[in-house]
Amino acid sequence: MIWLSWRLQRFESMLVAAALALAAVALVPLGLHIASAYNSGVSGCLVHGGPACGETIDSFRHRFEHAGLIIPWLNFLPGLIGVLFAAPLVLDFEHGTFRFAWTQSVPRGRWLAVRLAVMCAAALIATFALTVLMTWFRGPLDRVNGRMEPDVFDFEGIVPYAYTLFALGLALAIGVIMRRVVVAGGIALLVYFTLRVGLQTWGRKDYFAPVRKVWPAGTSGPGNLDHAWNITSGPRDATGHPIPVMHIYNFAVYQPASRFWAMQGIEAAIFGGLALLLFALAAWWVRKRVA
Amino acid sequence: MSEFALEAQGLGKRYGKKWALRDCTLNVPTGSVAALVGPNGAGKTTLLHLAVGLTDPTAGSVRILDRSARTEPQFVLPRIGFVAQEHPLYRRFRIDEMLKTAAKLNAIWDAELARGRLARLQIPLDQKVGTLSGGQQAQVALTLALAKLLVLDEPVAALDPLARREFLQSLMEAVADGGLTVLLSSHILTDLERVCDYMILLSRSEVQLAAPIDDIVGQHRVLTGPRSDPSAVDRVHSVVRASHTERQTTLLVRANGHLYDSRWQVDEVALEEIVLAYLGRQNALTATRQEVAS
Repeated sequence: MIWLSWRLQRFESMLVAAALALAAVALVPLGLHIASAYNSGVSGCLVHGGPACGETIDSFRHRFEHAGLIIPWLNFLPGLIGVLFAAPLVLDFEHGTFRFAWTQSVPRGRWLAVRLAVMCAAALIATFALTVLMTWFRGPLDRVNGRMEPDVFDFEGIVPYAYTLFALGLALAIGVIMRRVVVAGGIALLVYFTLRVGLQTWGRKDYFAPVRKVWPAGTSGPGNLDHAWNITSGPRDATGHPIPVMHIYNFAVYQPASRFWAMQGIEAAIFGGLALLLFALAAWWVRKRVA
Repeated sequence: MSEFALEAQGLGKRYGKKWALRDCTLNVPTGSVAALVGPNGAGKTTLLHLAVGLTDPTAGSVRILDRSARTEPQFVLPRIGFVAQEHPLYRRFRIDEMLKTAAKLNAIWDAELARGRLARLQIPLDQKVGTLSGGQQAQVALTLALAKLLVLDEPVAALDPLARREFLQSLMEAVADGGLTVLLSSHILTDLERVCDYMILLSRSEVQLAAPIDDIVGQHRVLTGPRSDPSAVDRVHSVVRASHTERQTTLLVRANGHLYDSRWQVDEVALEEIVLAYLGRQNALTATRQEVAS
């Protein structure tokens, strides 16, 4: 059963491997470049400090400000991984081969359990590879900028696995109901992105009440601002209203870096929970409604 | 083995408001090669899916090999071979990978038998399933399914006449070699008469006939005589179809015992004609109902 499950998704596994390889080709040369720039000066500055260090770090930050231009596009990958690994099981229902499988000796429940387990395992391994690649690529930048900004947050820690499982569950549930792999994959990707972007834009910043700080210009503000997710910042007056006449204050609304894992946990729980519901729906549909 | 390979009792399946199969009671004797015949949408696939446990009945019960495939799949499934409509196989697999699949999914599996059969059919094991002809795919599906009881849903529907003949030929060889029981459905009768010895006629979700083919042919006669009211004949025998011209009446009847009547010329009738008469009768009944309604 495990051999069969693997064989049925071999083609999709190769597609996913190719997509990951493509991402690696795009990221590794730039990543090496960033790492070498980081090692010549910046890393020493972060550990020991020194004169001119602020300038060194600022120039490093500035130089690779746009290193992440392709990164938002890589958000496709967890969705793609999920949809591709859901495809073989959906194809079973589109082509009617589930009737072949269900009239062999293997019980239907075990058939479904092994198929789901093997596809989830493959999807999680692929996501692990993506996360490792991104974490390595972003490593030097993370030590300077933190990892709370969406471009980083979405690829590190545990949320990528939840994203993948969510896309997988979505494509699977829609697929077994519609029995059309291409349509189901398209709808799943659309819903996946809508929810991802929606939550990132309107939901995530309020997982915890953001910290609001106002401090006089010229004094050092909150120390952890560099590594935080900056939601709003800029010069304000003492009450936080924009553009003062006389006394300029700085103002920041942000999620501090210390909340990284808590926010990862919430986001992963949302997508992971939805994935579980979708898996349950797909399994229920397969066991009760199909035939 | 029990006397009957398949027994259905008041079996029914409803999808939404529509009955796909209704009040189906029949027994298929062990060792027979049974044809399940009926037009498209008559409920053949539903009956076969109910038999092998792919779906649950709404009413009644069905037993295969004296068990329920739904409640005792671990007993039933290893002993039956089912080929669904359009003989679904994993298209991306090579033939030898399909064989490996069957070996891994089945408690009882004769790899030698399967390989030998495919070799005789000259189907190369390293070819992709998707590149085989329809006839070859049907042969592979049959090979994978080979078991004491074969349930085949429209195995020849998609095949050209030559492939159909070859498929049925090889099915008959398998039956002769292994003493199998076969239940196969078809919406066309051609060629089936030569290979089947039992027939179930299904039309509009209901069983019209279920009997050995010899009995069916033996019991039915065509009566030709001067134009008259068939109700006298219908009192003793059952009139399946009556047709009248200006001077002549032709009746197709199922005889109840011996049929002799000097007023009628009695002729034997071919199976196909009998089947058509039953199917036509259904249409006529519906037409009458619609007339009454309107």
